[in-house]
Amino acid sequence: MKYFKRIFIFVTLSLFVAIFFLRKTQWDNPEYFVRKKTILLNLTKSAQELHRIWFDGEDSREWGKVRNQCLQKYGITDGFDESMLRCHPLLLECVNQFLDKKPFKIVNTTFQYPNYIFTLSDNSDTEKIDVALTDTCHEIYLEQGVYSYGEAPKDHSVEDYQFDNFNRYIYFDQHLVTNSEINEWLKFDKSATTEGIKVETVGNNLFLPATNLSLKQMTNYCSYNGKQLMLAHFFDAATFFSQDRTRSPYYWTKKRNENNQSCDYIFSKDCLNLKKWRININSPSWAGLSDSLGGVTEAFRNPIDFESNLKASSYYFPKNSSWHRLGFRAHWDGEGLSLRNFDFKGIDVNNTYDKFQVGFRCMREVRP
Amino acid sequence: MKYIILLFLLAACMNNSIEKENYRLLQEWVYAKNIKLGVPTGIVVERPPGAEVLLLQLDLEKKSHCVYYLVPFKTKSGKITVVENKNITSCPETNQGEGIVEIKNVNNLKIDFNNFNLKLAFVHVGAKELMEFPLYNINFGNVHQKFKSMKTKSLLSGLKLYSGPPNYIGKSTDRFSKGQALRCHQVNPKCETVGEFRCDDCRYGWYEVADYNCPQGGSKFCGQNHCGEKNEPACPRGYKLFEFEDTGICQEDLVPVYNSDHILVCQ
Repeated sequence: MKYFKRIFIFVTLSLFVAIFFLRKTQWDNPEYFVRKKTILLNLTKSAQELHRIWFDGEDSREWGKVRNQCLQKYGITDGFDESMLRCHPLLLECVNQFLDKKPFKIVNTTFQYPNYIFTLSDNSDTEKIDVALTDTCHEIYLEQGVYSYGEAPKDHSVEDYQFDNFNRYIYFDQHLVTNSEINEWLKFDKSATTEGIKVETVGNNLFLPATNLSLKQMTNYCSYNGKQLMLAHFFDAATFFSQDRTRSPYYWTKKRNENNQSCDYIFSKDCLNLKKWRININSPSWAGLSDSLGGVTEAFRNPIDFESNLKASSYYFPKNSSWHRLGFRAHWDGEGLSLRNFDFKGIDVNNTYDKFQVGFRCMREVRP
Repeated sequence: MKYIILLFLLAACMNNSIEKENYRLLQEWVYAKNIKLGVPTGIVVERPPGAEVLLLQLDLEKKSHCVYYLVPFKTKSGKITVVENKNITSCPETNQGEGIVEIKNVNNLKIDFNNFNLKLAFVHVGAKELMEFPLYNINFGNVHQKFKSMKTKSLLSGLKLYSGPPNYIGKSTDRFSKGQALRCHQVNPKCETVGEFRCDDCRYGWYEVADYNCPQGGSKFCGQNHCGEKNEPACPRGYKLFEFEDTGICQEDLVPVYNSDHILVCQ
């Protein structure tokens, strides 16, 4: 027993010394560190490629090579504005999965506000690096200036409501929040705020607006991304034609009576027979905001008039409906999606719809 | 047993190679978020001969590295010393600490910082050496352009090498009306900023309030924005067109009133 103990200590120590000197030889070998340094620098070069594809999105040559397989994987058969794939992890994941000679190897993806974190690995999986990419592709800076809220007053008894955003750096979402963006939220936010939310994970609805959330859930989504639900007066600022104080009700012109009822400007109920609606189908406003009029309805937070929190202009109303005017809003209680949850002020109300679709977008202020 | 321990100590004291030190520094410096240069770039550091100068300071996530250079003098060769501060404080002009990395026999040292790439070029034991560090996490501020998304003044706008979660502040449920909202930026009555701007750490975003109608904006709070609602701050209406209570936006049935902190609140 006594010898066994001695032999055990001797063998253990010998092994320890052997391993130490083996590693020491490695540590003192300059080639070892040159190799390690090269791997690390190569990983940062892969990060640059990741960054390029993240921001170039559908314009990247890699997307062209994996597009068909990727769309097939997600069951997308309808056309959609592929610019929405910019700053979207879906595109990078497809490149990682389908491209033969890929410029990087993603081994894990997660979200750590305000960034997506992609873990890149070298080919031998000995070194890893975490790369953080921000999603700024779909935000637009609102020029500083004086803006107006709501429809132009018909007489002097009503205040012509104005405000300015000088020295404020306001960014708004170019397009409505999509189902795929909600999917991403649900994937990473396991808190009680996401309980009960269901969206489709594959199919043509992925890049259509998320339209089945309550007002509180919309607020929570924006908040999770460090933003806030679009404020009604900033929506007006971004849509009334180029800071037009006279406030034409149409986003494409200063002329008050130039109501172009073409589907190219307002996607109304009449357009549904001609083509499928999708995000960004019409021209954006002067500031770059898409779907100012028509399409699905859109919810806001209105700090001036709480009751006017819904852009009712949508494909639920015919082309000659008076809802298709900027600054003219309905009320949504923010809870349900049936007719009783809305106040359309008795204008062109069609009772044939069981459920209305309400989209939303976010905005945020950033430091100078 | 004694001999074994001695052997370990001896092995540990053996000189480290340039490559090893380069790799060790690269591993940490790629995450540097701020740089302060102590000497002019692009020229060989020759003055003051025989004295130790602060070459540069690199702020990492929760610590900083102070890089000193003992300028060669006559037969005495130069030395690069990297000292680690356990928190982010300004480096002393002369080295007062123990180096975590020391490179001896250095001559003709020149530093360069161009396009967010830091280069240290020097002669080490007669051989030319070049250490390069791409600094992805250094950000010199935001760029705001009409009709465009935000960019940062960094090596690659929108990209950072991730080294761990930041110290977030604020909860999504914090409300100003309940006294829970954290102030992340404060402006005083003279329109001076008090303390540091911490709003980038707000986990659920931040919002501005109307207080002293300063050109650079008002104080800011972390959390969900409920401006305009009862007992919540008024939304800022702008500082150029309006004065006093008119600088705040409240719901139609409420009016903006200054609270004890001189913040317009809707009541």
